[in-house]
Amino acid sequence: MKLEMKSKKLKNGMLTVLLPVLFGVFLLLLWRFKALHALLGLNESQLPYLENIWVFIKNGGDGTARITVNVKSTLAVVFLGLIIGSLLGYFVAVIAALFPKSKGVLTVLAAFNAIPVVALAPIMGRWFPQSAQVAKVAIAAILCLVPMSVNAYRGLTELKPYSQDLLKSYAASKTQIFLKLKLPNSVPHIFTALKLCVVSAMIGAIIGEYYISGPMIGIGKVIRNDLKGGRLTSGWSHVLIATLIGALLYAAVLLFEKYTVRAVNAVKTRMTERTVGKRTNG
Amino acid sequence: MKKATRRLLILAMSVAMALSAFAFTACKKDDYDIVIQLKWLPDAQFMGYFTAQSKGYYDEVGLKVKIVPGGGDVSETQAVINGSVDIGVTWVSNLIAANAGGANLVLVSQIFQRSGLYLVSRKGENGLPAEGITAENYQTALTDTVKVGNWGYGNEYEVLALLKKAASRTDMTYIGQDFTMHCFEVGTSDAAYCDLASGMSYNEYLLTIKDYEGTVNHNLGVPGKYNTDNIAVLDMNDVGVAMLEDCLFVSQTWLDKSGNEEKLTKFLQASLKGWTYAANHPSEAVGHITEGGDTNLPEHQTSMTPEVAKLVKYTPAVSSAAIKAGTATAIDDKLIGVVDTRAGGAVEQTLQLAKDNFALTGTDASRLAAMKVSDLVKTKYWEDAVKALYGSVPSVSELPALA
Repeated sequence: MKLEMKSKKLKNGMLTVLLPVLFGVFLLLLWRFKALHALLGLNESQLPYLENIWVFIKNGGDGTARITVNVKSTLAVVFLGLIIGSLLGYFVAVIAALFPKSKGVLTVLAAFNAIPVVALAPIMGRWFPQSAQVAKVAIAAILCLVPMSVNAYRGLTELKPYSQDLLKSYAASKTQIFLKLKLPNSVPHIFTALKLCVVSAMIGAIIGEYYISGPMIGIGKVIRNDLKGGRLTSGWSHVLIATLIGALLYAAVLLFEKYTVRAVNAVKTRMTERTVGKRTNG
Repeated sequence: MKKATRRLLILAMSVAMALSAFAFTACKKDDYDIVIQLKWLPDAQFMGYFTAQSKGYYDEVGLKVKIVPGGGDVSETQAVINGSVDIGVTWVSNLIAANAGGANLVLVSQIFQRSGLYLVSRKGENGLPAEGITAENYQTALTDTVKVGNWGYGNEYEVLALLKKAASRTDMTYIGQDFTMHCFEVGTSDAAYCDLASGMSYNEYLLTIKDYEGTVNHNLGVPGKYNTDNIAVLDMNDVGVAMLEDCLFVSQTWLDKSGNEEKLTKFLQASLKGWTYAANHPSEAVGHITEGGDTNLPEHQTSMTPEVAKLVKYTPAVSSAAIKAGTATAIDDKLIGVVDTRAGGAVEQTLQLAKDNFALTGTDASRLAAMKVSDLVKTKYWEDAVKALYGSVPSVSELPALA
């Protein structure tokens, strides 16, 4: 019985990953064999052929845009923004959870979310004029901060009914309740937020590169430059690369979540076994 | 509601939506005979078209013309390729880049005979030489510590060619400027700061040396701070890296449709008449631009129009010093808009600079390497338009001799 369920789970898991990948490959094949061009009535100068994009990527770019330089710059912005935004967001959520009177801060932050990112970008450019890189990180950080704080707050405050009372009956201190109950409870919510954050940070980095004056570096700069200047092969190559990076980052968060959940569950099982005693039919 | 009724309703709605999609494509641009896509926002850079529209030249040839402004992220080459407009104004480098990517765009008239791109610097500031960076000293003065700026979008090739040419320069990167001269308003630690900034002779350069609203001096609150005495100008034409800019272009696909060749000739006829009038009456042109919907102040337009006229009337064979001194010879009115297809002429130089500096990959690279001037240009329509205007067609050889 257990073996059957395990193989079914495996098959489901594989399909969940395989089907989207196959769909992506299908789209790429449509593009490669110019079926997309036929379907949408496009010619080469509107949508470059995939083999030319492949040559471009294999060469690492061309005289106008070197891929590694631009990807490194954008990834630096994404990671820094992600880390700073998430840490700050979690910190804000902790403060709001510990001091219920300051809950309004979350509402103010949520208002920040309402600012369209294309307006946020030039504003950050003016707020951090010394370094375009810092301004871009600020955009990514703000876009991460808001979902992280809202979700983490929910994780810290929406507990199972009576669980807090149970711990209080064991004479647990406030710190112990926080560390042993609220913090672990917020972990799934952190991952919900991270999935949003990773995508938002990527968008923030690229839009920031669009609108902030400074060194001509970054995937967003190249895309904007090339698509207007008629260099479609380079522009579309960078669009594809940005898509790929976004997908990989999201997949990384999913894997990280799975690993963390499995580890947390293993710890929970061990703790239960220790208190309740070994199960009789293991 | 009943399952059958619901299904019927969904079917009816889908059919209605599909039909409305067809209706959309049907009413594209049937109201106008010619839709022209400008390269930028409507201002003196396109004064010929506004003059022609204001003075009724398009009506004279029986054309209803719609002038579509560019700006922001609009790609004029894509607009023409997609067929959403009939004719476009672009820089020749963008046309070459699009054709290298597989487009079949055709250059039909070269409105700006010479490049209007300046590199401007503040004399003596931030370690620059006392005379700034000029055509005489750039080989030694353009070191890696000098921060060079350009907007990008395909406008950077002349600057990149210059950086390549400068012996003291190994850094081929530049600062991305915005569309103001803000880079001259900020301090040296600012990310947007430039020592050597790009500016068009008829637009951004004027924003640097004048005092009215919108200029650097006005924004800094110091009238006369930057003027012709302390701002140095590096004219691309003086250093052999000039590429042709504003031209009129169409796609071959559009030309192949019946009736369009005649429309193009008529459009050129009226537009050349408009450009000739505007170039010879720059102060009157300001009024026509305002009628057409300008985005700049009248004072700026008044400064812009004579500079635009210089680009229309002087070929690259004329030195910038002569133009400044007022001793330059303008081309005959009949030659306005001519495409210099001579060997060693401006189109060939632009194409050669493109081949040397684009550095493409794959089929784009092979298409560019094989490109010839005759692949890009079709002079027949300009010739027919001039014949209709003046009765005879001047030859390209009447242009000033090449250096």
